[in-house]
Amino acid sequence: MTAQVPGPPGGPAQDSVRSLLAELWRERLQPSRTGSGRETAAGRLIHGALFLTATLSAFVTIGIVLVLIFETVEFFREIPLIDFFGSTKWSALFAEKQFGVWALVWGTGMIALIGLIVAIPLGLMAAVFLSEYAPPRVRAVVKPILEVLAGVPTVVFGYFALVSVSPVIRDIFGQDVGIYNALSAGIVVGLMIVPIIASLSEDAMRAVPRSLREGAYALGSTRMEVSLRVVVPAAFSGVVASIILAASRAVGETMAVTIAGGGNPQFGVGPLEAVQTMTAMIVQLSLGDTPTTSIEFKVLFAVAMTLFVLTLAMNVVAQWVSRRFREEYE
Amino acid sequence: MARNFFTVMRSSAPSSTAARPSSSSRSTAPPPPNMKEAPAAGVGVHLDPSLEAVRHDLTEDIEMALELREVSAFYGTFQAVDKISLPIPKNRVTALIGPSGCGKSTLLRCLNRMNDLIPGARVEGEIRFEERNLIDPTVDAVEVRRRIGMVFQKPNPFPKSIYENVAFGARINGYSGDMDRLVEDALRRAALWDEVKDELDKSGLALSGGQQQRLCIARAIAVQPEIILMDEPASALDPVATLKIEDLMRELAEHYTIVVVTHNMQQAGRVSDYTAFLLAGEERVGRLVEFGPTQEIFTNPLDQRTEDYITGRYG
Amino acid sequence: MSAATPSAQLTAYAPRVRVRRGISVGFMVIALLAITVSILMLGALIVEIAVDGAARLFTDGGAVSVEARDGSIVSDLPTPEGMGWLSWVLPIAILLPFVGPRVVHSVAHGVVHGVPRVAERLMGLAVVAPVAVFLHILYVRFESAYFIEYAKAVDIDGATGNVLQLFGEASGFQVVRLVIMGIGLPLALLLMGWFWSHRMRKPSLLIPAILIGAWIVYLFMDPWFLSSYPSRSPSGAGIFSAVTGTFYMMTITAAIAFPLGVGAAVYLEEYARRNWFSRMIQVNISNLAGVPSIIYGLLGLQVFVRVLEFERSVLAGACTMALLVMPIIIVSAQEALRTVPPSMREAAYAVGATRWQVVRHHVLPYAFGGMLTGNILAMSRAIGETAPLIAIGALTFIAFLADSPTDDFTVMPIQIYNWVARPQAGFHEIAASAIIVLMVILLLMNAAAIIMRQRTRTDW
Repeated sequence: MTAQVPGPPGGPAQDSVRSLLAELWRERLQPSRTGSGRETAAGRLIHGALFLTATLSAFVTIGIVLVLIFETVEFFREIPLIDFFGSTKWSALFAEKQFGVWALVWGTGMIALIGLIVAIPLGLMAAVFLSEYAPPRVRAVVKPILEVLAGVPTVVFGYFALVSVSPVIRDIFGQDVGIYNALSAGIVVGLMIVPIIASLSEDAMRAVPRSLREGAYALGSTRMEVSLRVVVPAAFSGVVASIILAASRAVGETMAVTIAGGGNPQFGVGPLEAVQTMTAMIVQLSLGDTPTTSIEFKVLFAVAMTLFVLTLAMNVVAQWVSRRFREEYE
Repeated sequence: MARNFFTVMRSSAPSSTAARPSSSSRSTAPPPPNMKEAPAAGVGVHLDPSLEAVRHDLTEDIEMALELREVSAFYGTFQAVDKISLPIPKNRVTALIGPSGCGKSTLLRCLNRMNDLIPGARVEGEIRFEERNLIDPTVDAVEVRRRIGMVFQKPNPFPKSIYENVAFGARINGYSGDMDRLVEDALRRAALWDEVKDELDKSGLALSGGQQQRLCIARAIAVQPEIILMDEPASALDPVATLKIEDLMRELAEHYTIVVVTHNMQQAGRVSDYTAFLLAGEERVGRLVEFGPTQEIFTNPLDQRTEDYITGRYG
Repeated sequence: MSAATPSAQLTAYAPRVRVRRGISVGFMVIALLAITVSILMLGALIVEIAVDGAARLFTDGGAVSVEARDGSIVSDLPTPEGMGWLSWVLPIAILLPFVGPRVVHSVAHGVVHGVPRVAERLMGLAVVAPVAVFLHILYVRFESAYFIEYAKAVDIDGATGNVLQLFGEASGFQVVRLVIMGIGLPLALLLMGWFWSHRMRKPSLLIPAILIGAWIVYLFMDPWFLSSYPSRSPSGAGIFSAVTGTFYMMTITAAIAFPLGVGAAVYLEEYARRNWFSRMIQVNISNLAGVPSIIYGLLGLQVFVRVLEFERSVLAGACTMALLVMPIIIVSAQEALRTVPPSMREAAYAVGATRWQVVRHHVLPYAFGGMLTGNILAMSRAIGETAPLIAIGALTFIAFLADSPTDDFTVMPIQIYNWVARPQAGFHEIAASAIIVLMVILLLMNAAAIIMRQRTRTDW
C-alpha cells in the first residue's frame, strides 16, 4: 500500500470514499434526471437528419425514374412506340430520322456477349484458383491486385482497346478490319469484368464449408474433382449471380465501347465491324450541343430508360438467384 | 393483490427502513443469524398454483430495491421467461442460478431495459423501482440504465484509455465536478487503483482479463448507480481473477444492490445473500422455481428440482 | 504373392488414379494458360501505356516549347543550363544526412529489437522538410524569372503572356511537386522500415514501393506536361487544368458524399428498426450501385444543370459524382459499423448513454478508419469516371483554372478521352502520359486506403 491510499480496502476509509463519490455526484449532477425527457430535442433532430440521409437514396432512385420517364413520355408523344421497338434502323443524326432501338441493342448485346465469353472462363478459373489452389500468401497478393484492376478507369481500357488490341486483331483478321470494331471493345470489356466474376465467385466458393470438401477428399477425390464437382456446384448460385452482375456491368459500360466500338448503329453486323451501344449513343448525343427541345435530346432519355430497365432487371435477377438458390449450410 | 407474500412484505417495508441495521454491521456474513430456524417458521408460500414457485421467508426485515411481478419476456414469438415474481433486497447480493437457457440473463437484462436494444424483444409484467414501473414505456430507459448499472459476461472495456473508460459515463450524464477524483474513487472502489494509477493513459484493452472486468465494474459504479447487474462476471476469468471479483462483489454489496447471474454454484454460495433458482421446462420457457436466502436454498431446498440442481443432478 | 492382400487390391485402382491425374494436369495447364494470357494482356496494357506515355511525360526539360497565341509552337527556349538538377539535388543533399542514416538505423533497430522509433523519425522529417520546400521555392522563383526575362527579351509574338501565365499558375504546383519529392521518399523509406520491423505481410511492402516509384516518376518528369493547359498541338498540351479540376471536384464530391453516406449508414445500422422500410432502403442502395454511371449523368444533367441551374460547373459535376459514389460509401460504412462489436454499444448504454451518445462517442470513432478507407476507395472510383461528366456537359478544352464551384471545369479522364478520340498519334501519346499520371494518383489512393485499413484496425 502506498501513501496515497487512505486506508485498507473494505475499512472505514472506503466508506468515506464512497460518500465522497456520492457527494461529488449530488453536487455536480444536473437536475431533471427522471421522466422521459432524455431523447432530447437535439437527439430527435439528429435522428431526423440521419433518417433524411438514409431516404436520400430512395429519392435518387425516384429522381432517376422521374427524369427518365418524363423525357421518354415526351419522346413517345412524337415518335410512336412501334418505330422505337419495332425497327432495326437507327439514324438519329441524319435528316431522315429513324429510331429503331434494336440497332443499339444489337451492338450492346454483342459487346456484352464477347465480354462474357472472355471473362467467364478467366474469372471462374481465377476464382477456383484463388479459393481452392492458391496458398494464402499468393492469395494475399492476387486479391488486392484484382481489386485494383477493378478500379482502373474505363477510359484507360478504351485507350488500350484502340491502341493495343485493335492492331492485333487487324494483324490476325486482315487489314480491312476497321480500327474501330466490336471485338476489341468486347475483349477489353471482358477484361474489365473479370475482377467482378472472380471476386464474387470466390466469395461464394469460400463460403462453402470445409466439411463438404473434407467429405469429398475422404472419398479419395482429387483436388480438381473437389473444386469442380463439389465446390463449384455448391457455390453455383453465387457464381451465376456474379456472372449476371458482370453482364449488367458490361451492358452499362460506357467509355471503352465509346472509344473502341466505333459509332455505327447497325443491326446484324458482325463482331469485326464497328457497332454502337446504347451507352455510346448517349455519349455521342451528349457531346454535341443538342437543344433540349429537340427529338435527339428526348431520344437520349428513351434509350437511357431502356438501358436502366435492362440493367435493373439483371441486378434484380442476380439478387434473386443468389437468394433463391443459395444452399444453406450450418 | 392480496394473494401473495409481496403484500406482506410491502406493508412491512416502510417500517423496515428505520429498523434496518446499519449496513456496515453485516459486511461479509451472508446468512442472517436466525437462518437456521427459518424453515420451520416459513415453509414456502405458493403464489399461483400454475407457477409453482416456492419462496422462503426473507428472515430479515429488509427494504426491497426491486420487485418483479409476473415478468415475462419474449424474443419475437419465442417466450424466454414466464411470469416471474421476485423481490430484490436492497444492499444485498441476489444470485440468479439455473441451467443454461433458463432465461437468467434475459431476466437480468429486463431489469435495466437492455432488452429494449434487441429488435423484437418485449417485456410484460411489472418491475417496481421506487414506486414506478420500469417497464412502462413512459419511463426513460436511459435514466433506468444510469441508475441500474451492468457488468457483462465478457469484459468489454472501450478501446480508450483507462481514465476515459471510467470518466465516460459520468461525462455523458452531466457530471461536471472534479473528474480526476471521481475516476480515482471509482477505481478504488473497484480495487483497481493501485494496479493502474501510474498508467491511466493506457488503453483499457491492454489490461489483463481480470483487470478489464474490474475496470468495467469501475466504469459501472462511476455513474453512481443504485443497483449493479452482473451477468456471469467471472465466467471468462481465471480462478485468481474470479476470486478478486467475488471479493469485490461482497465489498460493493455494502452500498449497492447487486444482482448476479451465475453458472457457478459455489460462486453463488460464496457471494450471494439471496438466491433465485430458475428452470426452463420442456418448451424452454424459464420459470422461477424457488427463491430465498442462499443458505436456505443450498441447505434446505423446498423443491425437489432445486435440490437436484444444487446437488448436480441437472446438466 | 498371397492372393488377397490389401496392397494387391489397391494396385487394381492404380490405372484409374493415373487417369484422374491426367485430367487434373490438363486443367492446371489450361488454368495456367488462361492466367498467363490475362497477365500478358495486362502487361501489354501497362507496357503500351508506359512506352507511349513516357514519350511525352519524360521529355528532356532542355527543349521547352511554349505555345504562342496563334497556336504555333516556339520550341527554342533554352532552359537555364544545369539548374534543373539543382532543385532536386539541394533538398536531397540537405535531407539525406538528417533522414537517411536515421532511416537505416530505424530499419536496423526495428529488425534487431522489433521496436521502430517512427515518431522520432517523423519529427526529424518535420524539421527538415520545410527547409527543403523553401529552397525549392527559391529555385522555382529564379527559374520563372529567367523565363519571363527571356521571353521579353526575344519578344516572341504572343508568347510572353502564355509564359507569364504558365509560371504564375504553375508555381503552386511546383510546391506540390516538391512536397511529394521532399517528403515522399523519406516517408516511403520510413514506412518500409516500419512494415519490416512489424513483420507485416509482404503486400504491405508494395505501398512504400509504389511511393518510391511515384517519387522516381516525379523526379524525372517533365514539369511542363503537368503544368500546361490543353492545346491544339500535342507537344504543347498539358493536363494542368484537368489535374486541378479533378482535385477540385473530388474535394467537393467527398465533402458532399461522405457525410451523407455515413449518415445513411449510421441510420441503417444504429437507428433503423428491421422493418420493410429499412429493407427497402437497403435493396434500393444495392440496386443503385448497379445503375450504369451514364444514367447518373442524365440525372445530373436534368436536376443539377437544368433545374437547379448550376450550369456545367464543378458543383454540378461534384453533386452528380456524389450521388454516384454514395451507395459505395454507404455500404462500406455499414461494413465498418458492423465491425464494432455489440458489446461496445451495450457497455455504453449500460452507463446511461443515449443512442446518439453511443454513436457519437463510441461507434463512430471506432468505425471511422474503416469509413475513411471506404471513402478513399469510392473517391478512386469517382476519379476515373468519365461518362456522367460527359453527360452533364463538362468541357474538354479549359485553358484556365476554376476559381469557384460555379466555374466550368474539366477532369483528367475527360481530357484523356478527348485526346484518345483524336486521330493524331501525338495525342495518343499524351493521352498515355495522362493515363500514367491518373494511374499513379489512383495507386496512391489505394495504397493510402490499405495503410489506413491496417493502421486503424482494432483487435477486440
